[in-house]
Amino acid sequence: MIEIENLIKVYRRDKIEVIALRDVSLSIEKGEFAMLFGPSGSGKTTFLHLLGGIDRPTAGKIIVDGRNIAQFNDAELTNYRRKEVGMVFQFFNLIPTLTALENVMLPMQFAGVPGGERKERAKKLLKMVELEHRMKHYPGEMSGGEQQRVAIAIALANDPPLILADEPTGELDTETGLKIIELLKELNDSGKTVIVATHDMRLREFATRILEIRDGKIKG
Amino acid sequence: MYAIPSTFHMDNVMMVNGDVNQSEMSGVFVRAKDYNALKEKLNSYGVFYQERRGEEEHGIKEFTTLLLLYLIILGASSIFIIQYSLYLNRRGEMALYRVRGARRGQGVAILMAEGTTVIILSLIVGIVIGSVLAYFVSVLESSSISLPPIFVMGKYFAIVTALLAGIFLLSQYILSLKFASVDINEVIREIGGEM
Repeated sequence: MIEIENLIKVYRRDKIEVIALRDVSLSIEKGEFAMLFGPSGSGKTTFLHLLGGIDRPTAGKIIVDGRNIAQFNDAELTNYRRKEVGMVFQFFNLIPTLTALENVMLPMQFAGVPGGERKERAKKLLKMVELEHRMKHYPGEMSGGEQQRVAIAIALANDPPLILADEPTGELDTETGLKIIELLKELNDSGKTVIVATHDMRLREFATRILEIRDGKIKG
Repeated sequence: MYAIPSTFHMDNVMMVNGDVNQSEMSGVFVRAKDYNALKEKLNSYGVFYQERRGEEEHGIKEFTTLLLLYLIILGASSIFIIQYSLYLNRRGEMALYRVRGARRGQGVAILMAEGTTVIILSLIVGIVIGSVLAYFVSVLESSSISLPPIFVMGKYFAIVTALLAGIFLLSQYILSLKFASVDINEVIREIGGEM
């Protein structure tokens, strides 16, 4: 369960202050499939980065399973990113010099999973996203949809309970995008909490919870 | 004053016949391959001599030191600049490692492992090529052709190579530390995403 209390994020660029999130309070239950809708620049990415332990809030609390991650130190945040959250991005963000299999094995390597075990699990995950025939291919040799499925396998590598996806269909055609959302829905059905930021309103039907963000305020 | 006739049979100690300057009648300059052998020979003939050992060598050494210093400075600065720009292009990669749970130390370890591999492979290739070249140099040295003294300074270049390898690894370490502390949020936004 995630509880967010009075979350504020202010960016300072040179001398200009940009308020990305204004006093956001909400809670997300375990096992929800939440979709965060909002136009470009509304604060979607900021919200996901804060939840994913990539960035720290200016003020407020982010309580994940009873711990306020806003007060985590660097090592604790790394541990959180490693074990408790999987991130999926709009531009797939695979390491171009590693094969699909190696990309999926990477987070397990960081977590200290032994070699044989991580290879087995990576293979299993790639099979789950129907890419067992692409294991030895590099990102540049794969289509956008395939790369995004590898990215989902990467997010699942250390079996985190929370999956955050930032515009995961943004770079894909409608049909491929739907397949990606269906895959995320399957993960949600298997018990994972999934939060997807998007501005594609057609994806609404998949969500169990709709959140709307506008000018740094979240409703829903 | 003491001319050295060719009947002295000093071919084995002198480098070339031209080393004996017969026009300077107050004495001659003798350059020896084997300094001790020459001394022994001169003593056995009761020839008065003055040691002028290393004067020429000194000049070469000075020149070589300058050259090596130049190489070190040039090498070190280009290593640093090249590595810096290479790493700048890899900030995204480092940020992704961190997003996927790499500790800062693991980020440093990845870059250091790469750098060390590069150094070891280059040293192996360098040593193989260097040995082949050194073999030819030593063949030439033992023949009657007199080599420019710079060839004799090969060992100093080996020291410079080792020094540069050290500088490479050190600058790699400093830069890895810097780049492993990348602002993940900022870089992830740069490589794709919005506010």
